[in-house]
Amino acid sequence: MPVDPVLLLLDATAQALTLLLVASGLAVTFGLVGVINLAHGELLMAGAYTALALDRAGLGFWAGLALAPLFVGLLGLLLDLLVVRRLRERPLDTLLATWAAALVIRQTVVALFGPASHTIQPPIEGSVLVLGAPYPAYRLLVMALALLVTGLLTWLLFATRVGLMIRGTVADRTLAAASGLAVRRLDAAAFAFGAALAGLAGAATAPLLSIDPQMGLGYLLPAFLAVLVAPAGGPVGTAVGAALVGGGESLVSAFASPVVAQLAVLGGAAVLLRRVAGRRAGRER
Amino acid sequence: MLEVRGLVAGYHAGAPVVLGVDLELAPGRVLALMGRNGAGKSTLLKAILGLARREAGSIRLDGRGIETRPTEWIVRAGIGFVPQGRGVFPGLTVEQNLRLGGLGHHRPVPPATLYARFPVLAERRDLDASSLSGGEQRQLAIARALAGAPRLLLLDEPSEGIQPSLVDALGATLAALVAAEGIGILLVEQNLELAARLADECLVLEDGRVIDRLPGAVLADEPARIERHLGL
Repeated sequence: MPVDPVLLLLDATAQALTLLLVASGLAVTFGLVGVINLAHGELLMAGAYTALALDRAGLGFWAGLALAPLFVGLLGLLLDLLVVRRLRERPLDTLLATWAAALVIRQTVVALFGPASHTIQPPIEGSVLVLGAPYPAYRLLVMALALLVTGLLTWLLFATRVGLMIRGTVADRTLAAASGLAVRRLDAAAFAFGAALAGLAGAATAPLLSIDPQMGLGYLLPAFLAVLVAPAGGPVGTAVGAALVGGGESLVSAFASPVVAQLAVLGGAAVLLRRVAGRRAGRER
Repeated sequence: MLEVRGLVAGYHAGAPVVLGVDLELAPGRVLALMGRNGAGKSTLLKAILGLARREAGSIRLDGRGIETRPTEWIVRAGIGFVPQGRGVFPGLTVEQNLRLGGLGHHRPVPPATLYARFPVLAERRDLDASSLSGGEQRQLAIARALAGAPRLLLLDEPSEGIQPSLVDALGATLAALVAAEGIGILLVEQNLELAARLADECLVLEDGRVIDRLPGAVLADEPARIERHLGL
């Protein structure tokens, strides 16, 4: 069957931007705060379930989209308070502890909503013509949201006092404290903000996906890859990483099986990671 | 006024590097800490700021105990710190370094005021701090610490790694800070000339203990007395 190049391009862009939305939170918690948070997928899932719960409660999808970041942000704050800040200098322990937190969140969701999958109707029905091809309107809205979040993050990091404090803390934690910055509070705020972004991503993508307790797992590896292969730090770097990983997988899967596409992305990411690591080592020398 | 009594501090529990140090530092005074490498000078500065583990003793600032306070609280209370090495935020511009130095403080000193004292930084304001020369980075590190308007400044080897011709200018800048702004300086320094120029008093540390306490004038008048301690 011939492939429509416009649809192919739109699908690849949609997948890249959806991954960007998911990876934006991780770019904050991992890229800036330096925490390898294996519960990121579950925070995304918690956002989707928040949207589901509020939709079922009759408040509608938009209320869920607005409140999911707040709820998941608070969950992130709790996770930082109980787990992450106590293990700051112990990355391996952080890895295990956030994995344990992921299990707790997942099992709590199973206890509350059951193991079966659920769906939410997209709040916007219908399609919009893009370059002559009809494309689902809600999917386009999610793509726009990803770009909006990236713009907001860029502004926050590079044009605000808080962003300057975060960049200073990332550059030299000890010096930041010795300059009078409350680095622990900054860490907690940044971690909670990263969690809130995961919650936003979960709620926004909920109408596009099957909502189930395992839904976060599928996004964890691609999101980490997107942040890791980013040629530069910051939101724009994450956007390039998401384009390479998400867009790349979408394009390859149009011509090969999904397994081959995932293997191709993993192989490509491994090569890019070697280059990125080499460049960073060169800069540090 | 900073008063340290019987301070025991280090990096690991049960392995102190500083062993019962007493000192006082008043605004407008310079106290030099001298000693060989490993004597505990830098650890002492870090312990005062809460960057090293404090095991015993008291640290009081204007009569208030600060030994259990976090670093940012101590810095905001009026103690600036210039660590050994770069002491600047790499990846941020000179101007951003200066703004960051004042962000956590109630009455930050604006960059324009700091540029008046360190004119070379004004010329480099948009450059990445890590691209500056060693001497410029030391000036930026001091200016960053001054951005928080401290009353006391802890300086860890400010002349390290900069050209001898610039050490003199650095000494003039620090002397002006003390004379004009009444800032007290706790100075860890290996450069005897610079220490002699600035210090009102000198403590000599060896193996974490104060082994001698000398008037500053001795550094200039009887350098052999201090050189013996430093193994020069």
